[in-house]
Amino acid sequence: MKKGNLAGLVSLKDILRGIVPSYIQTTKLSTFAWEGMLTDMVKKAAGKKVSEIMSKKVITISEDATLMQCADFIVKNNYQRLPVVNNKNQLVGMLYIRDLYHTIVESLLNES
Amino acid sequence: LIGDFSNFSGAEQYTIDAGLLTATGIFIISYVVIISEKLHKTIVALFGAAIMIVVKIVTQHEAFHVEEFGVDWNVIFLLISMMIIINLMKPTGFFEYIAIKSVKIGKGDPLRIMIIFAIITAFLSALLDNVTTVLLMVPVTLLITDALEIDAVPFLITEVLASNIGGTATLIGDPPNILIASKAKLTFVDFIYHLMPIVIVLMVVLISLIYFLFRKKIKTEERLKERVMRMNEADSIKDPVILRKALLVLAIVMTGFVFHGTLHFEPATVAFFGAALLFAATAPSEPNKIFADIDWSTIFFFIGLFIIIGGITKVGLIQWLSIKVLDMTQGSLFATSMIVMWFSAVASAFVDNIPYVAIMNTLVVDMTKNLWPGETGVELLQNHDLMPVWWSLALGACLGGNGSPIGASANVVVIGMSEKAGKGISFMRFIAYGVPVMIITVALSMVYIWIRYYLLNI
Repeated sequence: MKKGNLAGLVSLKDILRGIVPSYIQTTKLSTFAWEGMLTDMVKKAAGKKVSEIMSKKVITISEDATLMQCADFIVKNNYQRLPVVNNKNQLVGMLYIRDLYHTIVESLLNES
Repeated sequence: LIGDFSNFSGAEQYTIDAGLLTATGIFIISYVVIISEKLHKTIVALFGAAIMIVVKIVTQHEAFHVEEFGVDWNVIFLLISMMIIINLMKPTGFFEYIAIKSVKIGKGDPLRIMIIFAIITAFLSALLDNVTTVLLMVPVTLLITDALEIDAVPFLITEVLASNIGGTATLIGDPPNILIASKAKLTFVDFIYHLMPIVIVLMVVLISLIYFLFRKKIKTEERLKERVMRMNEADSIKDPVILRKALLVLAIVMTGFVFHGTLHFEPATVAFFGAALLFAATAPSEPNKIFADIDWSTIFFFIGLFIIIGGITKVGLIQWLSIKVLDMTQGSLFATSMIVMWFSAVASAFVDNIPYVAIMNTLVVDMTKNLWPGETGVELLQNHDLMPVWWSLALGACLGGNGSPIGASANVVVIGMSEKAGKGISFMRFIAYGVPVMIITVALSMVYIWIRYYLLNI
């Protein structure tokens, strides 16, 4: 891994995924969860490292991509954010869904 | 000594030609690549099969339409139909119901739960395939052991062992048995009659071992037991109407299996009818989802494998091997039974028992042609003296699966799932339980075969 390259991304969902046991995620067994199971599992997951729970396959977008491409990526993949990389694959910024929302609102306001 | 051996003495009857060399080459290369795990086994099997047809070792007609040199559709449709039945049963929550109910019958006591889970796993493995069974059992086991705050690994290992033992009991319990049944035209009841007694003995032995090994080791607190006692098994049943229909169809299918021999239906017909009936009864809104969940990789592995083995059978390689085996055992079928059982057990511990049994099947059939040249059809395949060899093959191949972490698909699946849940099962930890259980169960099976078929002759 070179300096400045993206190793992975940790979202709130990744953290939840790290806490909810795999046997619950793949079945309907959460029906049988006991009172306090979540806190029990939080204690068990406390020792986990970021690398164990992060999403490793991160979809990035190039810094010269169009906003339409970004919007399409976000809608198609149900993302909340997109890491932006330069042509050396180094992280240069983050594009959040709200950034696009601002652009949309602005363009609507300018029109009226 | 059974049969007359004076008239053949091995390889000299066979000429080594280009076809034999090509087919043997394709077979050996496919096998080596499968064992090396460089490529997925299904891809290798399909590729090997395609080459067999392209170089005209077998014609397309033989590969697709002649059972001896190509695909055994009885096996394929039995597998597909059973997978459909299971995929339709799964959403009913019935299996979770049984598991949670049994935990409560065990009063939350870990040792009792471990024994009950082993029995349920063995029972389900006899009726479903082993991988499906463990896919159903492992998540519940992880939930319960987490709730009781005890080590899940001994539970998971005993379930694997029970699954491989239980699967041995019936025609549909384990793929080797499906293959043997189809080849030797044996019925569901034949398997129950000949293998169920020893499987029950082996399960009693396994349970005794669990009891003495873990009696003092696994303990939990009363408050944790209450946790599992508060679970309500009825919560898993989402749609009681569908469940009732599904259970009715399942009962019909099981009855069909019991009577398929007397009614002159192939097992595949029973399963195929059951799948269609369950589809009609439950009428899922998206049948595509049920089809998509069929394990197509396994199905195509079988298809490829049948064609590859068809190729080496056609060129005479199997026949040559069968004569070698007979030379070695001097035609004694007792010796053959014992060698087949132990060799199968050791081989199945390390290589996939499906291709192994597929080859052994053709080998046994060829051997019988040499032993009883006058006989054909069922008379030949089910020759009284041959039967113990089939049962030895089934017992060896199924029970050998316990000998290593890669001995059976169920082992691999359980180890993968438990690793994902953060509870890795090391190679050595598996071996420590698996090898003694394999040796004990195969040894007892050997005694069983000897007493039942050679001493008492029943």
